[in-house]
Amino acid sequence: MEQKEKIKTQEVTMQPENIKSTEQDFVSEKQADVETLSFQSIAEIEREQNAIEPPPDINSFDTVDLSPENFNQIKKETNIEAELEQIKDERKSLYKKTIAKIRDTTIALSVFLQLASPAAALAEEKPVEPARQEMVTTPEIAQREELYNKKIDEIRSAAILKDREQVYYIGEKDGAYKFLEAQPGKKNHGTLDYTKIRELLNKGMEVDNIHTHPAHTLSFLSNQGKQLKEKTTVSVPMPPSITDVFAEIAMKRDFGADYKRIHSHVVTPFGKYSLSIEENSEIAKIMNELFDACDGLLDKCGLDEKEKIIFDEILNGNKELISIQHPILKMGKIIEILKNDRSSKAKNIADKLERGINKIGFELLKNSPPAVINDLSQLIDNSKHETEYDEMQTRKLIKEDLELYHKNGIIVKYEPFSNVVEME
Amino acid sequence: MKKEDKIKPKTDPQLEMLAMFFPQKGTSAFNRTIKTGMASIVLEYKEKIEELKKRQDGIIKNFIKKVEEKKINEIRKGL
Repeated sequence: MEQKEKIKTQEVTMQPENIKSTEQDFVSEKQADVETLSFQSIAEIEREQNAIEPPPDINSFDTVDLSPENFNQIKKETNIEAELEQIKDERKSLYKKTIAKIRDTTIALSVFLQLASPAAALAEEKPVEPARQEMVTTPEIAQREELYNKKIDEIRSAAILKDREQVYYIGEKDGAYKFLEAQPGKKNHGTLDYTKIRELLNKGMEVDNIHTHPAHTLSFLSNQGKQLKEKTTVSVPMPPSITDVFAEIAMKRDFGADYKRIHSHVVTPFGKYSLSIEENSEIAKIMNELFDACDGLLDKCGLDEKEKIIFDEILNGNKELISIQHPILKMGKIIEILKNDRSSKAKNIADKLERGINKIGFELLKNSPPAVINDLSQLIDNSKHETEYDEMQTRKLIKEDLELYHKNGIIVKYEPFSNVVEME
Repeated sequence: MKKEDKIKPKTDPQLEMLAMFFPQKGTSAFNRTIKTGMASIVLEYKEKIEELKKRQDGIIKNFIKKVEEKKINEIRKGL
């Protein structure tokens, strides 16, 4: 049966090994050039398309020992000609769509790459100071405010004296307050406790979710505790960080309708910031997509059965991992644990996860407004360096952050403490 | 910025992870992201083509099986 032999050779021409090597070829390149990558991708798709053999001609089958009537009957029963035609059409359509996808992606990436850095663009714009909250005080609420302000002053002292962030929850209903015990966080970040927020919400309360930005975070302030306590130091802006913004976006998503009863603040030695997210914030949209993608990353990164077993053996019951709820932090910890494992297989799994992260990053980059992604990556980069430099450089980066927040629907309001020396 | 002006970098695991998702332009992390992403479009195409090939093979195999069965039946009838 000659025809049968021909069909066999046609069965599987693209082996999984070839698929893997394509990915490695792309990743091993030293310098990324969007045009070259686009050209390479299209060339590979065309090679693949040209390598496809046409489906066999059904009418050329060996029909010796078979009457034409029966042969036609089988053709009719199996509907083979229409089925093969359908596959041919799907191949053509897939080819066209893939080429169009590569071209669209190339355009999106080129636009992104041509955007100037936000720092350069902002230099020409008028700086935006965080809006100061207008406080209206009436005799009826003065007593309540005194109690609240006393607590804020206590939190401010913690921002001056303690080297770690502290997290506080204050519930308020009909003028009565419930102050929950402070939770110490880590040096650079605190951890939100959803259970405590939920506890207060369930009592019908409005919730103030407050954390400190300690003076110790900024190196140039870390040895000025005495002056800070005596309030003789010039005010330094320490607004909510980009990770605070991400936590706020996650909270907005996780608490749904109850979010409007949660009010997030950052207390620094110099003042109190409030943070909220505008309904149509593009950064929030992108971050929500990222949270969804992180939740599904493990399923999508293509671990085989053996790798899944190794993954479970290494990670199941890991106490550190169990304590992390945040999808992004959890993924980071998983990769760290796998990389620190001695087996090369664990490291391979970590590589697959990292490639999965790259793919998510690429999808976000390709499908989101380029200017917003540009701002977002700038905010993340600024945040990494804000504690790295001297006072003036830090002030410059923070000013840029506030500009970018304002531009992207992140609402930051500032209420300085009354006895703070403001910079001229 | 002089080297001695640098104080200490912030190490925040969340920030490190976020920087992986949103790498700065021109960094090796950014290059890796766009290379991996572009390669994934090609891989997706290859995987879909692979599925179509398998579907086609299945259709043809099924057809050949029916032809062979019919032939045997005809030969038997002839005998």
